[in-house]
Amino acid sequence: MKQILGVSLRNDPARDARFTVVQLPQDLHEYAPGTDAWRRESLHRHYHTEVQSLEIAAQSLADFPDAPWELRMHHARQCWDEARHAQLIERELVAQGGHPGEFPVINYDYGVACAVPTLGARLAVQNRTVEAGEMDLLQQLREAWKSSGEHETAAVMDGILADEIQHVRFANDFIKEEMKRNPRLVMQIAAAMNYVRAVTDAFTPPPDAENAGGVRIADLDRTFALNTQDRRLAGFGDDDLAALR
Amino acid sequence: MQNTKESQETQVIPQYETPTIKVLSDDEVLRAFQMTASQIGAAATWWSASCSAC
Repeated sequence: MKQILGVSLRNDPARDARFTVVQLPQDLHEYAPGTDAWRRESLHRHYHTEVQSLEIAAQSLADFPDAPWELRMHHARQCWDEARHAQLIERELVAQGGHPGEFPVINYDYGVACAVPTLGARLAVQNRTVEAGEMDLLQQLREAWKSSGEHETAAVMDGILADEIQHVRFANDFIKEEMKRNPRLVMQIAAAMNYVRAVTDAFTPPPDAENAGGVRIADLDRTFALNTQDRRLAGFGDDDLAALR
Repeated sequence: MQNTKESQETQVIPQYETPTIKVLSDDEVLRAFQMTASQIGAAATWWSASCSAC
């Protein structure tokens, strides 16, 4: 484990020499919207996030060898999906003139998810929360690319989104079944989500902070509309969705 | 410590409220601890939805 800003995170996974790994969001290069560098850096960050999702699924297979076989198969398929997603986004990145390692990366998702010590709680954090949130983001990305006439890239986002529905769904299914069998799980999830809130609070930059790209972080858009339709397919009920609005 | 009239006046005792218990189901607890994408995004490690397509 490592200590960053007073919170404990899982140590970084290995990265080859192409990548500069940073520990704070202020050290990422997110540029002013509309520039070519902004577009490449966003694709580069998306690519790295898919790599982290692969590593989180793989690490979960290693960390929980006694998990039910069907769940382990879901994680194995998720590894396959996320590797494919990373390749698709890398292709888009290269088409925009970028390359892996062009910008600094942060292993935040991996550091948080893999710090959660129990399987059900880790699924609640990574699959039910982070990847469900990515479904909200992917819906907006798909529509944004479509609006700009980049239909092939929009189709890539749509394909990734379809896979994410299943990643969230298998987690929701496992959590609901496991809560009946193991009443402690709901408290483990509550503790894990409190941990995620604490890490988020610690990492949230001050409103006037600038990132390494010279942009005021508070000026960057971090709002995401709820992807109600796909969250329903992924196992979120009406009451769950109402609580998220 | 002397229990003077002055110290009594400064000690404001709140009105007694009958203790209550609220029972939540597992689903209600799960729901109470949900986080939205925007809340996660506050850590500024995600990319912005509006950035890639302009």
